[in-house]
Amino acid sequence: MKTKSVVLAALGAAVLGGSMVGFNSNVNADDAAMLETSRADAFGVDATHSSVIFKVEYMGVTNFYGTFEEVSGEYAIDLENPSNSMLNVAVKVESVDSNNADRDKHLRGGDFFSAKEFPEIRFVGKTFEAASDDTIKVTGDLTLRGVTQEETATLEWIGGREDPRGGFRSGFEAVLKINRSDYGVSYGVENGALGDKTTITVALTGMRQ
Amino acid sequence: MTQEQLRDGLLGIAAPGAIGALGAFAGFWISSYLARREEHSRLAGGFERLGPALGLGLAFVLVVWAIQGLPPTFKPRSISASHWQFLLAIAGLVLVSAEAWASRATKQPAVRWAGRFVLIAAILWFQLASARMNQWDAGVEAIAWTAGFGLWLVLAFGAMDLLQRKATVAPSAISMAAIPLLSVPAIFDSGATAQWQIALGVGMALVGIALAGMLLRGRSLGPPVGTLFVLWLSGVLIVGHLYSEMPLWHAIVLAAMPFLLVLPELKSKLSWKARLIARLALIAVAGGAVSFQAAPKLVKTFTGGGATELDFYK
Repeated sequence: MKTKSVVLAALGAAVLGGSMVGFNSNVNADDAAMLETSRADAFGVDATHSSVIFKVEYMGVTNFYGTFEEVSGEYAIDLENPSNSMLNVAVKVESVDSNNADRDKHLRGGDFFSAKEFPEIRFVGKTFEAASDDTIKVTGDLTLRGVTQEETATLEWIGGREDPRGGFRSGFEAVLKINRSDYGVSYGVENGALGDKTTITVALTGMRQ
Repeated sequence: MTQEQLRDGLLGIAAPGAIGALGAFAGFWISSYLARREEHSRLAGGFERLGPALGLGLAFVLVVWAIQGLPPTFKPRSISASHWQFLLAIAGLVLVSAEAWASRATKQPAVRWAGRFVLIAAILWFQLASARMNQWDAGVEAIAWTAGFGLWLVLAFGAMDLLQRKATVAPSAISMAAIPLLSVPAIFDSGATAQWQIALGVGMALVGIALAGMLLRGRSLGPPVGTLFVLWLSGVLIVGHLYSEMPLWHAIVLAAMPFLLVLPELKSKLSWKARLIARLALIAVAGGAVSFQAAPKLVKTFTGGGATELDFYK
């Protein structure tokens, strides 16, 4: 009985000691990675220095651009191990700006985004795959006008640095191409006044949380 | 305005008018034919009620479909209020057809109101869901708005029934048509552009029905048309005010219009012509009040203010 207890205690000490050693070494590795790139950290979107731009073809002759002024969310991008990444971004539909007050009212209304009915557009990344050294393919759920569908965005990591005013800042640009009619935003598609294919460019910067 | 725009515009106005006129004329004509054969008198009544309802309902469904397309999904929670209009228009058409075929004396009112309560429940549950979630405080505000809108629907259906009982086809269809046609600028200005185009289609379908009524006098429009009319107006109020930017007072005036239609009917001593003139005058004042400011902008659209019929910005 006594021998059995001693053996168990020894085994327990060995296991515990081993885990402590492993734990310490993990902490050191994480610290090193964080100091080196900071890319796996979570960042809160800085709306003031971020842009959300959409592009749609106008009458088959040019591209028309508009923006959403209010964006929020968080991200954590790990280029070394993309599966550790996270992305959750929302824009306030009410903040759409197309450089024309009448058109903005139309865009906010029931024909397009129905801003009061569906106040936000959200993209939540689900899978992250490396595409090149600084680029990741992000597949996630885009919710627009109440409809949620899987879409793939191309995310290009731009960089990270200490912010002179304090904290650590990083940023990226992601491009998402969708058919807006898939989400019920089909006004003007049928008669060719406006294209169906819409490109959404999200250039975000965030502060480390 | 290009020739192509002019053609599309005229088609957009003429097509619903023709559908309304054909539906009503076919219904009335078949009804007259069957009425001469006594054994088919019940069938004749069904066709008389079905004709104008079919004309308005088909025009409504086709216009909504042509302008807004099909819903992108059939998950109820994901369908927008605008796309619910299409599904509700189809449901309305089916329900009023069932009513038209029910026997007049016993089943008809029950079938009518059962159908209407199905529509009311669908409107309150699905079309107002987002407003409850995003605009109104849970509790008193949400309950008051939902109940208030439900009550308005019941009263508006009742007002339409009263109008159909008192007025024959042409005067009542013309009076009803004045509501969407005179409200077009106000609806346009709300930002819900598809809604004014739908309103134009509904108005023209009613004008078509009125023309059929002038050719075959002495008939009743029937409550099914009233059901579809209120269904259309509820969509304008929800999409235009709750989910676009129609001012509250415009929405209140629009909501009051079905009741303005029946005000002259309370004066039974007036001739049908006097009642028609009074109805049109009331609707003209109300429609003018909400549309006055936006009318120039709409005129500019039709006279080259924008690049296409869908582009109003310069």
